[in-house]
Amino acid sequence: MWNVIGQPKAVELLRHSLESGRLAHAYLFVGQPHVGKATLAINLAQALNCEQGIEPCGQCRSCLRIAAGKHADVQIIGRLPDTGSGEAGPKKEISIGQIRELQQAAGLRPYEGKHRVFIIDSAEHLNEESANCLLKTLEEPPPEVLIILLAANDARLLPTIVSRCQRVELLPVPANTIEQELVEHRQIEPDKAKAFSRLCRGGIGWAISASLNERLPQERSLRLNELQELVTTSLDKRFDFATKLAAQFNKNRDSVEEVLRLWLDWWRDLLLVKEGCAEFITNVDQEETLVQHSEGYNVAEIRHFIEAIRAALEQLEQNANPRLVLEVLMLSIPNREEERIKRPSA
Amino acid sequence: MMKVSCSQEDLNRGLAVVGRAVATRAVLPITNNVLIAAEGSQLKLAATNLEVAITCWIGATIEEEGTITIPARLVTDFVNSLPSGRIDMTVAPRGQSVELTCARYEAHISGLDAADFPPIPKIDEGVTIKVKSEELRTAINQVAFAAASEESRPVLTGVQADFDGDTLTLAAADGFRLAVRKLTLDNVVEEKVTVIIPARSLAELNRLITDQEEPVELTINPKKSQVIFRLRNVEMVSQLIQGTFPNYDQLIPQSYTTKAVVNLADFLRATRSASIFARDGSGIVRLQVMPKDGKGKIAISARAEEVGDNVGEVDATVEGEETKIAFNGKYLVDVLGVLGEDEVAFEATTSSSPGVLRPVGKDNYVHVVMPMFVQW
Repeated sequence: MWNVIGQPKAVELLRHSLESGRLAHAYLFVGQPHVGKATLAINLAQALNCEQGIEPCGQCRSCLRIAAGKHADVQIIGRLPDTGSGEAGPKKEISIGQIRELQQAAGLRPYEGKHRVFIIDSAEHLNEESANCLLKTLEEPPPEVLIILLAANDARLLPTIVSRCQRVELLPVPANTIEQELVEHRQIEPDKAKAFSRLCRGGIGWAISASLNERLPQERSLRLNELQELVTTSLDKRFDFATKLAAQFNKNRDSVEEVLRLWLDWWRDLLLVKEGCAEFITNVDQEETLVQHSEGYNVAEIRHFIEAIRAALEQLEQNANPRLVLEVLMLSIPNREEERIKRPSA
Repeated sequence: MMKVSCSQEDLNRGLAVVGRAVATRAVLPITNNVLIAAEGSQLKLAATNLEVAITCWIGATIEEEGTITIPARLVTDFVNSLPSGRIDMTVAPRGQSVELTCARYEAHISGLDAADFPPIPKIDEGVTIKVKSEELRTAINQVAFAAASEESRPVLTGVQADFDGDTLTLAAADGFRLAVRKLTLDNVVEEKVTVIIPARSLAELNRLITDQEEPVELTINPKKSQVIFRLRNVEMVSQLIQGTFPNYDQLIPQSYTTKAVVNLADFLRATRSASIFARDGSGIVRLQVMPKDGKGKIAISARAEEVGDNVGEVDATVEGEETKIAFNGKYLVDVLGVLGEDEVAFEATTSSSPGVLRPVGKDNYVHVVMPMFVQW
């Protein structure tokens, strides 16, 4: 059974290739974070090694070991934990050493299964050296070897890598599909399911982890509170926040991006509410607050700030000084109407 | 549950044997562990790095059968530090740690469930041969060093083993040299089988068979993905390399224009001393073969700009023409060091065609080295 959800096209493609025995030698799964790339890759590894047939049965010893990450022939290669710098979080890149190890292992016949499968998680993190090193193996892997690259954005991969793989695109999972899955198969209360299915922006993995783990939704409300405080607070406090966020950026880029994406959602929702399209909002559990807040701004202000957030995200991506970028962003936060009224006129 | 006792010496030796197969940087963290299983009347130790798996049995008194995996480095170092004597090991029912006592020492070592350990391959069927351990050890010594150490072509990091009738042919090449060794088996294989065994696995095997007198039994599984070597109380399984080994027959020159027969020890000494100067000059060692009335000599020289030069001469029985040829000194030293006969025959054609070395008196070994191009 293929347990990746909401990707009928990708599953159909792989199933057909498996049935006709014409699997590509290397795949590139492209899709936003949490959309199911790794799940699909693991499913494919199970299908190739399953003791029952060409579908991943999920029951046999081989399938169970692969799912538990204990199978000797299925390896997931990602950034190694950074032990050198004394900070939590992974290293910045996938090193050439890891790729050489892959190549060496790929030269050997499978240890316990039928195929060796190498899953390269977040292939964007291959540096130029390791990507070039991988090219030869990627073009002509030994028989019984399958390489699967996972990437959120294939524009950040070397074109020579992309052209050597069969590209499979995973689309964001429709909110209704996620909601249904959460309610029917994971016994989540309908209210929560509705909220998570919208909040995850099509990344079903996030919705599932949020429903299993209280921490994710809690973190989100914390971030939203922070955001709501910021709009009413003084410039000093905003700058303090920018400094804090910039420090966090140096340790963990992705977490800051996450914060800004959350803000983007929030302001997009404000715009939707303002324009009377409340049924499309992401933060369904916050509708009242949104309505309340939206009264304080006019459309131009909201739009202007959305653009500011997008610009900030882009600049961070381009390695601009994070503190400056975030401070500029703080300066662009529009003041709400009531604040303006309260403030003594100059 | 497990309750077992054995001697510190046996356990220490067993751990040292399987320790060679423990993974150093593990893809699967559990492969840093050693599997300890009490079954029947023996204690089984096993480790694997997913390329090589070594299993070793030691005598033990077993009160309760059981199995667990514990960190290999830790237990090996600890057992090694203990006084000789009896060691008792106990695993509580459903426990994940070993209690180990020896004389007045006691330790608790946390482990992982043995069910998660990669299965140590069992090979019961397939092509099986027996070969004298001494013979196999020499052959591996003469061949394995010629394999590439790190190579974009994985097949060259292996040694091709070709079983045909009662003959096993081992061959390794790294693009600059080729070593081929034939050896006679104790039995006859019914079908011809060719596999590529990682050179590192064979080097490991050589360490294991140093003090073994009985023949080594070797089985290749029907899928040709693994080979097992059975020794006394020890089994080693190696994954095989997939791919096609280059057809090396055509690389061995069929004729020569100059042939020199030299005393091996003299040749080796002269090459070594030339290599010292060659260190600063891209490793180039020059050979000048000079015939003279059926006798003759070889002058072995090296020079490095702004450092100096040297030359050494050895007597030789030379047939054919005078010739000049240059090699990487390391390659010559490597092969001369493993020939193991009194005399060596050196054959050459031109300064740009490969040189051939054979032990005199044995026709089971041939070594081909590519020359280097130099200005004379």
